[in-house]
Amino acid sequence: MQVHLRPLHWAAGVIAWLLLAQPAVHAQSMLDGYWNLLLDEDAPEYGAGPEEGDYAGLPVTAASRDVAQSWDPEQLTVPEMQCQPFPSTYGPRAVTIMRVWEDRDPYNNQQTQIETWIAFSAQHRHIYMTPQPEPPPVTPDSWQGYSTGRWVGNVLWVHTDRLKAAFIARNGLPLDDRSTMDERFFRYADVLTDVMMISDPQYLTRPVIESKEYWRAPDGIMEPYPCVPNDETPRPKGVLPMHLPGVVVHDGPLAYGMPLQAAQGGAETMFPEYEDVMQSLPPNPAPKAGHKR
Amino acid sequence: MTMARFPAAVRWLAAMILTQGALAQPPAVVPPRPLPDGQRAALFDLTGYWVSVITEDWRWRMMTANKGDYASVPLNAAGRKLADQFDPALYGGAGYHISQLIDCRAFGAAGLMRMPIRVHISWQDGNDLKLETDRGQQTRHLHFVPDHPYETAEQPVTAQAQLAQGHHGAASAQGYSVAVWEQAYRFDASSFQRGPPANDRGGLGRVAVNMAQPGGDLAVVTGNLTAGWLRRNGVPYGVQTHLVEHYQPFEDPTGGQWFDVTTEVDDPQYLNAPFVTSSDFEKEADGSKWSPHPCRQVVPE
Repeated sequence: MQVHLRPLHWAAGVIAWLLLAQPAVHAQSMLDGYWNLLLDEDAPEYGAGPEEGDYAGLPVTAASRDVAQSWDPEQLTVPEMQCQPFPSTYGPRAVTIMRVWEDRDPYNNQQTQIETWIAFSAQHRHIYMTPQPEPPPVTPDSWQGYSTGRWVGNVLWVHTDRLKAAFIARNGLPLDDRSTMDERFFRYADVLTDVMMISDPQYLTRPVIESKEYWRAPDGIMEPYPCVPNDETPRPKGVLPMHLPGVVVHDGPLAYGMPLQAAQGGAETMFPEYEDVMQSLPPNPAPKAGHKR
Repeated sequence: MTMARFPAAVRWLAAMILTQGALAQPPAVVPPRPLPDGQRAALFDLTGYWVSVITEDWRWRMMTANKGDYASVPLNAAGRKLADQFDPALYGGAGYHISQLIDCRAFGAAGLMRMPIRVHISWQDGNDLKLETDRGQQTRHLHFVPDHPYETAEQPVTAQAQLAQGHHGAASAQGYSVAVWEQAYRFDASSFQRGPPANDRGGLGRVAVNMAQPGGDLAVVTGNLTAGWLRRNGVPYGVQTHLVEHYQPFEDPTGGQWFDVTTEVDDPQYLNAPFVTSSDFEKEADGSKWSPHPCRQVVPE
């Protein structure tokens, strides 16, 4: 028997499909709300920044060290850079609050985006939930990059690329604009964890892994973040403070009893056996006049 | 009136809805089955060799930080007073920062997973997940409660906390740990707003109770602890401390296996607030890099 479906039949079929084929949505609402960043790890990153010359535990390349050696913190006072936002690869490193919310398709209730807003430097991210079209090829690099996400059980997986060149620590260690970040978000009761795995073919020999915690803030308040550049330090227009490579030796880590060779970082410093390596490192030199601490 | 008066698609729709309703009827009563033990109930496999990857807090974890440096730790006045009694002379003198003379109190349960260590995880028996470390040479036993291997992630681990604080013999550096697999979500009344699962019985608000979803984590609550250190430069925690940990496995972009352990230290004696950190461990193929290093009981208890 041949069946001919009229428009009414098609409509009934579509309605039936919508009723009966609801997609699984898993844990998709579990991140919504306000979250205070916890400051129980990496204290310097939440304050003035790590010591210049302290790269211990980071798998940096020689090129990365060269860039960091030429960096001068006075750059932060240049008007053009005063309001530069944190990149998403560094966003949680601020004493601030984050809001998370989701967007859903009004017709099928599918989660289409998860958005985050970190108050400090007004960092607004869009995490496009798959399936989503790829970004147009001319999508410009940005501080927050282009993020796509998917749920794997109760863990949100996010991949981010199309990032602007930025930094991985606030002591001059750079990140290339080819860097990418993969994150895993999960939550237990009032604690939210964001594991960030940052890759960079230029400045890292292997991915850096960092994990950040947030504490739920039921009565969260999101303050505005006005930023207006000022001439904080008079200097001729166009001057960018910097050091020529090799001119300044950063021996700040000496204050912590850290071997200067360990402070140079590298992948080997990430693993427990480096404790044994430190036993045989040459002793630190005495600080010399002109060294920067 | 006959069914033939309705279009075929409407008849089909009615049949599907009626069928769905029939399937949504409560299931027949069946005798309860005994729950599996912790090992057979495992939501994921944590066994094997894992290495802590130290990219955060490097100078507090890979080294002994300066005396009096308790940055990031919400110590109260009593805690600071005790931390300031740290004596570098007992731990290597002038070279104490990188000395491997490390007090065993730094390897107590509340600080252990923050230390630079490798861990070997294996099942001692069906309800005892054993965690051993090379550096510090510690052994933890994570005890599953018989017939109670699961909990929902939305519930606080209060019952486990009470069990961990119960009487389990003398207090020790690793204390007594109670473990439970936390399933991501169970579709019950509280998950009503998340929508029904696909291809399942029931419609909105009538989803099958106790239906596990993929994913989950391992929650561990530890009590019955002796006093110890949160950091190797003498930052203390007290005997009333209880520890809540969540172990979450994940993959990196290359398919490498990791777990993250989020650690919440609650200590009414020396902390003003919970101390929360997370540490990441990468899976290793075997134990070839296992490197036992004893800790030292430098100061008699």
